[in-house]
Amino acid sequence: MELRNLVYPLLTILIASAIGSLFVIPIGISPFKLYQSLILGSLGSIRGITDTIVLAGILLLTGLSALVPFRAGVWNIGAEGQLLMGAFAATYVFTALGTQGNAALLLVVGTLCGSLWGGIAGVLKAKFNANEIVTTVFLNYIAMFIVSWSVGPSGPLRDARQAGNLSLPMPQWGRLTFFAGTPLNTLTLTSLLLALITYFFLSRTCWGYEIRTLSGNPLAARQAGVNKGLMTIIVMLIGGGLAGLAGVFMLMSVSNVLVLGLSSNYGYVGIAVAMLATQHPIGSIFSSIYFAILYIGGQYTQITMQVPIMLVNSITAITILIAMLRTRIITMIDRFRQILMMIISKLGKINGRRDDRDDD
Amino acid sequence: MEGAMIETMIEALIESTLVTATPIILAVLGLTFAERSGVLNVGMEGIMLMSASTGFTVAAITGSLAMGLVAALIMGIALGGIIAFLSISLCVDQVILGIGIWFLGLSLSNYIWWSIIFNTRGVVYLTPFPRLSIPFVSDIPIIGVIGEQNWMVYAALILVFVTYFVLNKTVFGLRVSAVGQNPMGADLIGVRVFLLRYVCVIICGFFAGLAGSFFTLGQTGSWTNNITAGDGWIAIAMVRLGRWNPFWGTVGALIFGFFIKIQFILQLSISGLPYEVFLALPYTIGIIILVISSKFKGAEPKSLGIPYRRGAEH
Repeated sequence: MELRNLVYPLLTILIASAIGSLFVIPIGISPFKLYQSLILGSLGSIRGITDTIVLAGILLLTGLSALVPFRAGVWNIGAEGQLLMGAFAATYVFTALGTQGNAALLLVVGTLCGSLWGGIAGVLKAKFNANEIVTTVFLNYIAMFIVSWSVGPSGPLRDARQAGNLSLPMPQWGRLTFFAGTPLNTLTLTSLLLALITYFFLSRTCWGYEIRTLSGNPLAARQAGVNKGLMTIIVMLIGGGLAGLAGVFMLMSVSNVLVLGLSSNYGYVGIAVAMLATQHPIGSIFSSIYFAILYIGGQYTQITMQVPIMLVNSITAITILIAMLRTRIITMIDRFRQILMMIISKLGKINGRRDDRDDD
Repeated sequence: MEGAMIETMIEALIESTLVTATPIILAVLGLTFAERSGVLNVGMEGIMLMSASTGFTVAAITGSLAMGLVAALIMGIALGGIIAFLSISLCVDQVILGIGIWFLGLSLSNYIWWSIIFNTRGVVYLTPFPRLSIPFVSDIPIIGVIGEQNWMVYAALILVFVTYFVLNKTVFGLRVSAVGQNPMGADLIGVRVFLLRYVCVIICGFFAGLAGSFFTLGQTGSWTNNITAGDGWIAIAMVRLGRWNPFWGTVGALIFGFFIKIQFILQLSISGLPYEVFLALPYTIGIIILVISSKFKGAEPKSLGIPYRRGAEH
């Protein structure tokens, strides 16, 4: 791993934070105070650290859900909807099961449902060449309305005892508990394991290789006989499944009930996680922690300083834009370095000639 | 009595179809310019949201809708300029750029409204642009409602013809098509590829500004989170459906608007279905549109989404 692979993400974070800090000046809050509050909320207490680690697990899953299709040149903007569909399916199952049940079953059902939701966009892309960016955005809206209906006044999942639009709470058997004395739970381990599996899948397996050629060198992929349609469907199934899993984990460890606002744009943040990590599964672990700090800190800041979470979302968006410029910045710096080297060598030559003359 | 009721119903349907279609038409026109020149603008929705919010905020502060409109257009043009610079000069990936711009628009538009308006003044309502009656047209029974809209609706309809004329009947338009089809060939015969693409993307930003400001200044007079509700994305699908022809894109937008609004009438008559089914309808139609329009792959500008580098293969 080269040093620049580490330097650019850090530079990206710095630039995005600097731009983000400009936004709070108009409302009379100093940027310094904002970042102090973001750090304090996420890392300043045991509770904050626990929340941050849990959220990092969720964001790592949605990050991988964006990353795997990205590596095949397929754009999955649908993690938000896939996450909701996973949570929706899991809620359906635990409502039906009642007091007795198995948490693993919920995870499987949620993953399959998310996978299906992603697969729709994959099939439409492979069979009809329907632009997956737009279809996944539309599928997000449709998923939102499905959840909104299911917990709405006439919905099957609504908790009739509650005034608000929410489902029955997750029974005790489905809730995640922390390993004794640590802020870690099954979610953390699963997501880390999946990041490692994704890494090996992409870099060491035949399918992974085919996926990478599809985005890296489409012509070579075609000539090597890579089935593009099949691969598109597979990556969307994987991406959807990972987001669906994130949805079930959201229910199990963060919210415990299905509500429309279950995911505060965490599906979209996944895109930023993947982009900041330069679409690398292991790098995503670190970028998911960064965004978890930002969002948990953002929630704290929303309560203490009344700064809405939209600000954090804006910083995330700017991070995507700056991370996107990475290759441009690298080439610019390389070019600058080349020019500098050229000037130095020319100066050296001139000096050399002078030296020759002196010898004469 | 019965006849009069049906008449008002049809009038309401025509009017709401027009109002729903207007921002989509404007967005379609802008996207047609950008995509004909070979630049993909996935961030349309984001620019529309930013313009809607900026327009509303400035109008609420100054108390003048015209100032709001100008601010919205400036915001649209500025974001169009940023997209143009990043995608044409820096050759970044246009899809990820669009996603970034969209997510920025989604969150920052709400933040602008919150920090400048809501934070200090609470919820603010504006009176949107007034209706302008067109003489004679507004006197026709039933379809006369077409002549009783605000100026933005008329402007959108007129701009359809202007866009068609500019893109298909002028030297500029033919050059734009040449740049979109074959930038290298166009460059070799002396067409200024980079300049034309810049102009087209900035025009796209202008239209996005107009479309965005229609929501806050022309229609509702208030701000809600994600006020455009996916219309920018619908427009992207519509441009494909219309085969990059502004006329067909407009027809598509009108039919789409009709379907969206007839749902309210259906909703009243079919009471058994949950109302979310009707809310999800536009997006389901959007997906179907994309499936249908995949047949028109041949009409797509050949260099769409591919940045042009002088002296490189691509």
